[in-house]
Amino acid sequence: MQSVKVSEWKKKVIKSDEIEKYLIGGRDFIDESAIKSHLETNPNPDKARVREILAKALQIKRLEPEETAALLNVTDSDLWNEMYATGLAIKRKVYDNRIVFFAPLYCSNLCVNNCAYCGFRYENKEEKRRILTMDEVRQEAKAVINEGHKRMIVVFGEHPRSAADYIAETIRTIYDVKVPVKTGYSAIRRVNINAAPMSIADLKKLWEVGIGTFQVFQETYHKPTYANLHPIDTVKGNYRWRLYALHRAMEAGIDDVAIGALFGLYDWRFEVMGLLYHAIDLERQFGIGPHTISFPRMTPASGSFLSRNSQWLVSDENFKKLVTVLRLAVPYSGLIITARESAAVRREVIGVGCTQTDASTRIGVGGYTAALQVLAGKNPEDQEIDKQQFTLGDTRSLDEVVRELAENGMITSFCTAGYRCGRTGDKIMGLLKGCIEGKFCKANAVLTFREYLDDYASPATKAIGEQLIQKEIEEIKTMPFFQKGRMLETFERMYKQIASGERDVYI
Amino acid sequence: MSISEKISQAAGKYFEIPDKLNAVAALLENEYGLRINFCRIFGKRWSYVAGDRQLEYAPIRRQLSPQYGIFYLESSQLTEGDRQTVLHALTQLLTEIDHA
Repeated sequence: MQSVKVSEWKKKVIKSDEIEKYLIGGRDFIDESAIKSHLETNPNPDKARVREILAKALQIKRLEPEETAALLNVTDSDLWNEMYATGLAIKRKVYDNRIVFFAPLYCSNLCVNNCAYCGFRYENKEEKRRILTMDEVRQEAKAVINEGHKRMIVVFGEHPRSAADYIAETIRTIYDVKVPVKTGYSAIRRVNINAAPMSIADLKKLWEVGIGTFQVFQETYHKPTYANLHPIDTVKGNYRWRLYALHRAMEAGIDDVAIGALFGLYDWRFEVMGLLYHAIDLERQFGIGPHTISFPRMTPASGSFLSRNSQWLVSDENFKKLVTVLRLAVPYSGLIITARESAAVRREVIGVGCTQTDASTRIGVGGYTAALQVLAGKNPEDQEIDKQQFTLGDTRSLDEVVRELAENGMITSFCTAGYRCGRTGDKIMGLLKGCIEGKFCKANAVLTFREYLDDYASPATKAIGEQLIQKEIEEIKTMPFFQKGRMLETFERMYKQIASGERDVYI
Repeated sequence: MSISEKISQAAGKYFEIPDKLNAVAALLENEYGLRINFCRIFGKRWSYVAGDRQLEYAPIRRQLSPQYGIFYLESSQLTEGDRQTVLHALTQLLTEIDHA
């Protein structure tokens, strides 16, 4: 790309008309006084009311703000235990027993913003800046594929050198990488993107090259906190440009969008309400809620005092609670728990209804290739804090995490079928709310787990995995859903195809 | 009226692409028992555009033009010849949409 003066580029990023068109009555959808009022007027709800709300959530109905506020205000530990159990029951109803895995890939830490909590901010002189060439992207993708991954979330700082054209080229490059396996080849089948908000015209560029999900985190929905943390003279200083990033994505045609907040910047209860209002506004304006919700919790970042000292840092106990309430409030959305969290915390929150996670994670720019290069001389699990946005809590390999889940009866899925079968946007929303999609999840989990066991698993993982996969197949055989049409026959044929070496077969 | 003409007529009543394709999907289901979804193709992504939202399982996938493809469930009401005619007519329609 041609060299662009950063100051000139910054002036052109924000399109006011692409904010104002989504305002309703000149207002955005975050009404702080309404959120505070909901939280204050629903203190310590009684058991009967909470159980009514749980029953509604179990019907896969999105909760209203006052219902969500009531759940956030529960103080009774027995009720919380009921909520945890209901969260898991909802997850199983909507998504069955699988956990989808992905790998993050950081392509650039160049950034024009100056967010107080982030290692990428431009004033952070400790950060070693780097943007991957396409050859390096290929090497990174190969390293990720060699772990067994099929799905990526690719992350970019906000900078003219890593804007839409670079992102689109990255997506194309990753999709083109093919790595030979025992029979055939392996590849990344879904590329999701975490990047700065952009215009509808730029989002269309990502749409045209086959983006999976477009993910933008609001960081904090609390406007005064947002203003404090994101200097007004930076692009990110515009709260509403970010708030409507996913509305623009929808308008560009990207009907799988992902919301999130960085927990630890402000009151966790407020942020849960903000995420709920975001889901509600996407539903209201496009009929499609968020495909996934993320809830990264602030961890120490290079050169960031705030990341260690915020008064709003979230305890493990409250973290489990906030994940639970999100599971209950937006029962159709996927929930992503990442390797920011320790193994112990991940176990806890997967148990209340998370649907996706990562492993073998490297978040330094060029981190996967570097990890391979240092195998001889340096502990490959060492984190390179000066090239990372934050620190990881769990650096275990994919194989280790897959094995642990299998030991606990959960099947790992590398499924990417939905968006290749037209199960996107409002179609997938209907299937999720109707508890249909989970049946496809179950079948595709088995198919992709078979691939993983045959191509990548260690002997120990394969041993436990074989037992699990047989159990899942037996369940599929008895499920009424698969008795319809020729579904069971089709599934069994596909399983045989994969077991005999064919790859990328999905239902 | 032939199947091709009916498809062309159903689509011709509308201006927006999803409306055209929904009308065709409704015609095919109501008259021939063929349940179908239309998707826009971007790389690996097949994004739902129109058709029977309740269609859970549509095992047959066909790309009919550079930008559009379909998923469908076979119908016993269609002979092999009729099915080929439908696919040909849909290919024509989607190719026209591509070029519009």
